[in-house]
Formats: sequence, C-alpha cells, structure tokens
Amino acid sequence: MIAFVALLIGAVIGLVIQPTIPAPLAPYLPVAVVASLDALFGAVRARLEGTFSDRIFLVSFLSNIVLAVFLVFLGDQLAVGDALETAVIVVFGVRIFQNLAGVRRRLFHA
Amino acid sequence: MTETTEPRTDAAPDGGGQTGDGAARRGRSGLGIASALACVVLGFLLVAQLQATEELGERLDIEREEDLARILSDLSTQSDRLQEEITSLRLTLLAFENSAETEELAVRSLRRRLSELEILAGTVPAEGQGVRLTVEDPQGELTPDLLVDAVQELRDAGAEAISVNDIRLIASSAFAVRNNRLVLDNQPLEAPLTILAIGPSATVAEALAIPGGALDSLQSRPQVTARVEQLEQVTVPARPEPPSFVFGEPVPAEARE
Repeated sequence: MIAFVALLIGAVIGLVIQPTIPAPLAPYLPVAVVASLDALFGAVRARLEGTFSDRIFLVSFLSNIVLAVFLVFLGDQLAVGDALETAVIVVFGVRIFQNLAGVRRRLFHA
Repeated sequence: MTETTEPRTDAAPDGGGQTGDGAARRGRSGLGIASALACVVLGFLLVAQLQATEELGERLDIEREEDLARILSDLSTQSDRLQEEITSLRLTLLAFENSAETEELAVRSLRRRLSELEILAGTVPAEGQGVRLTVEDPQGELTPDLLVDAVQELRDAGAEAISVNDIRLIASSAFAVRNNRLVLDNQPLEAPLTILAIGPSATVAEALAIPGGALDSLQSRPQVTARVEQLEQVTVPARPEPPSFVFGEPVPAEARE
C-alpha cells in the first residue's frame, strides 16, 4: 500500500514538474524504466510469496538500473547501435513476464 | 501503468498480508523508507519517460505509414532539388570566377597600355635607364634645327621619353626662336641645356657619338660643347598641362576601318 502511494506520489511529482529529459540522458531513461519495472514486479511477486525484503528490493532496483544503463552506454561505445539496448529490454521484458507469471500463480492458483 | 499496479495493491494486503506484514514490520525502518523513495523515483521516471515519448509521438506516431512514406519522398525530392541547386550555383560561381579572371587580365593589359600611352603623351613622369646630354652654349649659337636633329637622333636610337631643361617633349613640341632666344613650346631655354632621354643608354650614347652625328653637329658651332653620360636611372618630369586640341577630333569608331 505504501509502495503504491509512493508510486502515485512520484507520478504526481512528475506530472507537476513536467520534467524535460536532457538530451544526453534520453537514450538511458527507457531502459532504466524497464529495469525498475522488473524490480517492481519482482517485489510484487516476492510480496505475494512472502519473501519480500526491502533490502533485496532496493538492491535489485538500483543494480537493475545501473546495469541496464551501463549496458546501453556500452552499446553506444561499441557502436553496435541499439542492439544492446534491445537486448536489455528483451531480457527485462522476459523477467517481467516471469514475475507476472509468479504473481498470477499466487493470485489465481493457475 | 496504473492499471497494472492497481490489482497488485489490492492483492497485496490479501495475498502477502499474513506472511509479508510481519517481515515488513521487522525491516520497516530506513530500508522501508528507502523502498518507498525508490517507488517515488520509479513513478517519477515512468511519468517523465511517458511524457517524453508523448512529445515525440505527437510528431511521428500520429502519422500513418503512407504519410511517413509521403513525407520521406517529399524530403528526398526536396533534397534532390537542393542538390541540383547546389550544382547550378557551383557552375554559376565557376563562370563568374572565369569571367572575373578574364576581366582582370583585360584590365591588366589595358592598364599597361594606359601607362605606355601616358609615357608617350608625357602626362606622367617616367624613369628608367637612359642618357644625359649636356650642351654648353655660352654664346647662344644653338638653333632650333640643331636641337631638332639631336632629338630626332635620340628618338631614332630608341629613346622613349625626352625632356629638355625639365620640359617634357611631347608629340606637339616644337623648338623655335622668339626675340632671339631659343624657346621650347614657348618656354625659354637657358644654356647650358640638359637633355634627358630614357632608352637603351648604350645604343643612344653610341648613336649620338657616331661621326657626323648629333654630337658632331652640335659641336660644329665654335663655342658649343656637348657631352653624353650613360645613366642607370633617369627621371623625366611630366608635362604639367597637356595641350588641348582645338581642331582635331577623333574619327568616330564606326567610321574607322
């Protein structure tokens, strides 16, 4: 509940401030968002499975973002175009689906 | 995004409530607040990215594929046209550069012609190698024909510009005698005469000195002495006011052949 409220607060802050993303950061924000969504769904699943821990959530949240941004940065430096960015999105997308599958099993026993 | 988060929060107290609450309460300290902050950050990032995408999408997403293809073809047509314009402008530039070059050549040759004509007409001072012919005439024995002969000899030897006592000789110059005094273009000539001539100094000096030539003719008068010096640098003054012609007019260009 607190997490949901915090999420809403963040969204409201974003809506109020109307942030403009500085151009050099623009390529990194989407992967950061996807990476943190993975952490979020992982947390939801853990919560449902009863293994949720703030520490793990924080660590996964930060490490996901750092790793995702670093991989995209690496892709830029290696001049492989968007390939690594795509890889990061795909991997985190798969993980999100796995987490959702866990949530689904818990909620609907299916 | 909120659609996916809503069922979770509804479900969280139900599903994870019994087991998760206790664990969460134990850990709920700095870490819990940090987690909440992380969620705030996540919400913020989500909204920021969504808005950024929306801004971009306002321009491109609403266009359908055909529209995008049309825009692309428009742009490539435009690019082709601009490319053609660049080529034609380059050609024009080249043509201008060429004509400028030609013009510059023409101007240069005209300028050289002009300076030659100026020297010939005596409207500008001239300098160069040449000779100085000094004629001593203590008794006033010189006559115009002697001087005409001397000038004729100088010109024959290749002199380009001549002055007598700092009076530039021009096409209409004439030696004469007025009131028993020698005049050149109505200006009295006082002895000794200094005749400066620009031209091939060795040839001119040689021509003056040949037996029976100008020097001999001048010195045929008892008291007259004449001597020639070859000089590296002779400066001949300009005629201050060129003569104005009253009777002569140029034949119009179309009447010439």
